[in-house]
Amino acid sequence: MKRLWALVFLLVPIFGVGMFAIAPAHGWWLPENVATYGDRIDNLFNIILGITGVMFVLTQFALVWFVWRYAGEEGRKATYIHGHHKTEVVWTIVPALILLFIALAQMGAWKDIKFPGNFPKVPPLAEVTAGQFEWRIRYAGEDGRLGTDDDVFALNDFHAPPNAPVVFHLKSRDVIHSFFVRELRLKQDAMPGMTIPMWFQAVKPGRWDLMCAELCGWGHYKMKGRLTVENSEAEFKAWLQKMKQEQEAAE
Amino acid sequence: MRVFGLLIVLVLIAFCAYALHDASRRPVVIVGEYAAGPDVRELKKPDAEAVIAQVLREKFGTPQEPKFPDEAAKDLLRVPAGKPLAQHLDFAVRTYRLRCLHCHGLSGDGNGPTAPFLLPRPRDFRRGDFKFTSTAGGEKPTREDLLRTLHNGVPGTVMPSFALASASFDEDEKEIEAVLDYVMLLACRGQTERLLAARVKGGEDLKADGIQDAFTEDFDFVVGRWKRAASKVVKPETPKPAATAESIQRGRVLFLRDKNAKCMECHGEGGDGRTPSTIDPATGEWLKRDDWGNPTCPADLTKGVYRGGRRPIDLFRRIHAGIKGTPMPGFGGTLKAEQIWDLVHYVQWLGGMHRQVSPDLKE
Repeated sequence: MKRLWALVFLLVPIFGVGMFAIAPAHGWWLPENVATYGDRIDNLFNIILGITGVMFVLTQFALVWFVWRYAGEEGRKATYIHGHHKTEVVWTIVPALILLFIALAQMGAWKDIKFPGNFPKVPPLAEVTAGQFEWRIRYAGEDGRLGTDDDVFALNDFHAPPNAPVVFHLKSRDVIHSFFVRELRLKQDAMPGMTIPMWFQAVKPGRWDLMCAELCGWGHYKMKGRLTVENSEAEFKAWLQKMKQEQEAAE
Repeated sequence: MRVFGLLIVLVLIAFCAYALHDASRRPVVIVGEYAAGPDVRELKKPDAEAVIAQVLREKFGTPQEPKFPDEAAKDLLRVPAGKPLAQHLDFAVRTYRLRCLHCHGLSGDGNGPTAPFLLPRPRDFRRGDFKFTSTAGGEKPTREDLLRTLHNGVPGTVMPSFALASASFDEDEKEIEAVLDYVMLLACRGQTERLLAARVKGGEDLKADGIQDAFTEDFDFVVGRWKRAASKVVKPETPKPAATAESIQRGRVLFLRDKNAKCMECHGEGGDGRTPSTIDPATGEWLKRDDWGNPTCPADLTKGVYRGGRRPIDLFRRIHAGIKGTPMPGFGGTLKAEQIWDLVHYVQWLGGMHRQVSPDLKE
């Protein structure tokens, strides 16, 4: 009866690994990637998943084994030990080395995606200001400069040309939000008081959700925007032009 | 004891599975009745209140089962072709319950559970009055005006854009049009209720046998005002000129010194809306009230945030027709169209535009 609990704990690695095994067939896996740097993120994800998966199975089986082997025998006296120094050194150093490996493996991707100095040298397309509970987008317009009279204002509607690097600035009006588009593998906290440059390049046209990924209030769950990558540069310019004309309606 | 523990674990797992199963398809439940409007409650005449409530229930139904008079539905609502009105209103009230009710309230009174925390307060639909319209002073908004509010939200307030609110990209328009129809229902119901209450206040003895005629007369009046809104859209008499430095300068003079416009008196010399008559200098409290009894204050024009829309035509209409229900008056009768355009340019300048054209202005 006491060993029954060992079997209950065994369910954890079985279900855990089992879910991952059947997930892709059910569509419970990574969404499609449309960013040029997306593959690098996904590779890192898979490497880390592999490492942690193996460690998970090993530690869970060890747990099950110990619960089974030493399940409350009546009258058995406890063994008094002072630890095993060599074992403890090994099980500290090995995970530390694995972590070091992961830290080094991700440096390149982080640098290329997050450091403004490494961004494609293009003027910003837009300024995205997150605020409870909407995304206020201000396109630089034809002059390529933010803060001028030809800026185009949009709400939750982020358009971009395909196959071209897009730089934009992320801001917040009030509290911390987070700009998140799954299919771009792009997520960044929007910090009040900061202007944070970001970039991406979409490899195909389409429409995807822009979600807020940092709890920001009662409306956080529905703080949704839409990223639309147009079919061509020309169509993007035409859309921007149409928005500008609507914005200047005088009759 | 250990068996007991195992059983508890299994029961918890089973409960979670049941609770989460098919969560998205659980039916939306609407609880409650439409509250009597303040005009009716003020009468303190329970008999009249009952008669009015009875006829409103007959014609407009309940939140669980809303209705709308068929003839007027053809004019004022957008029921999809082939869909029964009752089914459309059911979809409409469920969408309202999901997206709007927590601010605007079950009866559309602007006093939902979220409302006490908000300033400005959510709209009370029961007067059928709306602040940001394209129509002349005293007229109802057009359907396009209300759609615009739903699409764009009201910037500077908590009213969000609902353009992307629904679960799938294709459902948005359906939901927006349906919710708008439900708002029309709440508005028409509320307005008719006010008119019936006014009869009682004026000494009329509303009884069960006369109520049908009274209702028809008042409701037809309400519908008539809504129907004529489309013909009352404000169109500038002269087209907008270019935003030159001269135009902005003229606008500034009008803003600061014109005796008909008197903009500065409420909007302040710098345009930020802070004057001793509008905002208490010590506490920051808003001193003016709108027609719904809520605190209100003049827009801070230096922010470049325009609740009714930032297009030049929107700003023109705010000045021409005023902001209905608020102390912002309409100047369509006192200022010429050219003058209003100059003011529009100056307002835009205050908000940060046209600074290349006009880096600074003379007093």
